[in-house]
Amino acid sequence: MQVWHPLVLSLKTLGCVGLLLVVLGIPLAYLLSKEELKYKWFLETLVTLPLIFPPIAIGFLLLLLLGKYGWIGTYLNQIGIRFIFDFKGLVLAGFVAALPLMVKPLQSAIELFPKAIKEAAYMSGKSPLYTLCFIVLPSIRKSLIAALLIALARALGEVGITLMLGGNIVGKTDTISLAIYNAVFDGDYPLALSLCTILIVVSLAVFAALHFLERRDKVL
Amino acid sequence: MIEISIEKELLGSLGKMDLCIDLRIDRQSFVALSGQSGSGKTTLLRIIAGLEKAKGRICVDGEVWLDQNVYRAPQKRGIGFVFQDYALFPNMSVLENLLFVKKDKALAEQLLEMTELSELAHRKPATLSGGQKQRVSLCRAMMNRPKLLLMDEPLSALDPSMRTKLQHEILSLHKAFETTTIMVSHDPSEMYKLSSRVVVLSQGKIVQDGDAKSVLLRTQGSQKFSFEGELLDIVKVDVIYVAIVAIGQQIVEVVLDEGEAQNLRAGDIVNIGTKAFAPILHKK
Repeated sequence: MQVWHPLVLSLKTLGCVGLLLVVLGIPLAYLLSKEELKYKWFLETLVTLPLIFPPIAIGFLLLLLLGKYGWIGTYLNQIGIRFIFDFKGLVLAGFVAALPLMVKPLQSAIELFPKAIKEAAYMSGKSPLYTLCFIVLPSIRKSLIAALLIALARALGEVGITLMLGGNIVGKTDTISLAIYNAVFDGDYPLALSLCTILIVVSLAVFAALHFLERRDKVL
Repeated sequence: MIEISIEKELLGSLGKMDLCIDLRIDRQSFVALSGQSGSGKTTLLRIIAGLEKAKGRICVDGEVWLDQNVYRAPQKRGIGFVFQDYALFPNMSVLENLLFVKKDKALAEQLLEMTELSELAHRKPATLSGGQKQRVSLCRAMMNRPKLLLMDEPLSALDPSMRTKLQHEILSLHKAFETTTIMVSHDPSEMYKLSSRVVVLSQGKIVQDGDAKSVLLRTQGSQKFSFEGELLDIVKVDVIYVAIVAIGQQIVEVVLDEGEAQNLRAGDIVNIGTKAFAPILHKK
């Protein structure tokens, strides 16, 4: 139970974060790859911010924003959407932390994709969206998967924002990383060690997957 | 009939210049577009394709593609476009590249047959040679049965024998599909073989326009023949001077006297001609 609950919670969070990264991260990367986009610098700063800004501070700002009496939280609370001390808060925390690692590499991969190939698709009568889905994304799928893996690994290790938004409630919002902290705090080193082992195994799996992707890239 | 009358400010090789083109092209003709790099050939092609915007008017067979109020998207122009660097879809096989344009398997197979690519139908572009890639690109451009085929230096990256082979294929496709074709080219023999009309651009303006022979033959007056070449070096040998000139892929030596040599510098573009004797043609 002590191991399982944090593990399952983390996996559920990762699943939701992964889905959000695909659904929102890919369109965002495409949007940012457009040269003529208005307020591009603003959007780019917003996306990149969690990479530079301390997570705990981001968590605090999100808490101010989404808290029960926060600027946005007040309105969300009225329609029954709560992020604070809730599973949604964990997902949001992971998503915010992972987003720059997903969007930035993907954005540069889309930008570097040869313009002539896109234009060839346009001359074939295909729209930019169709071209993105059937030519650009399949061609850069390795960069896409690599970015997604790295972003998910970051979300798995997320502590600062998660702590602020989720509140580290044992049995409810203690993700695997937070559970390690709790175990150490309670002096339960064997539990901390077994949780650590799980994280190590997952990280190694991600590393192996990245290595495999790179090797296949060279063969092709 | 294609009527083009456009204007656009460009950054050319010599700073800002105005691309200013007035051109009428008959149906099913084959026009070669020539001129130094930076003269606006590629831009003109891209404007016709709708890949770049410009002021003016483009009207094709009575349909307005561009004027003050109209800008028809490239997707809706039904043009075939062949890029210099092939621009094949890397994630698709040869056949899929063709079918991406239009799900017409019979036409795709016919085109692959015509260009001797049937064997390679299931290969990915990355595994093909330059000539094969450009043939796929050519086939792909024909999949829409375009009224207008635009080619931006399609053969410049290929070796001479592959070039000759592809020239035949371009010509047979042009005839079989009854397209109007505009091709950017630097190669006079290619232009002569393929085109019915040669248009030469310089600094964004049309400076020569006529049939291939009248534009490309460089002889003047009673000259028997004349070649354009680049002066590589002038070497003094006793009392005479020897000019070394590159003509196409060949290098020749020409004897000069002191007066002639003084006016010439290495790097000058020169004409070599002769009128005194009949040239001898040997088969190699």
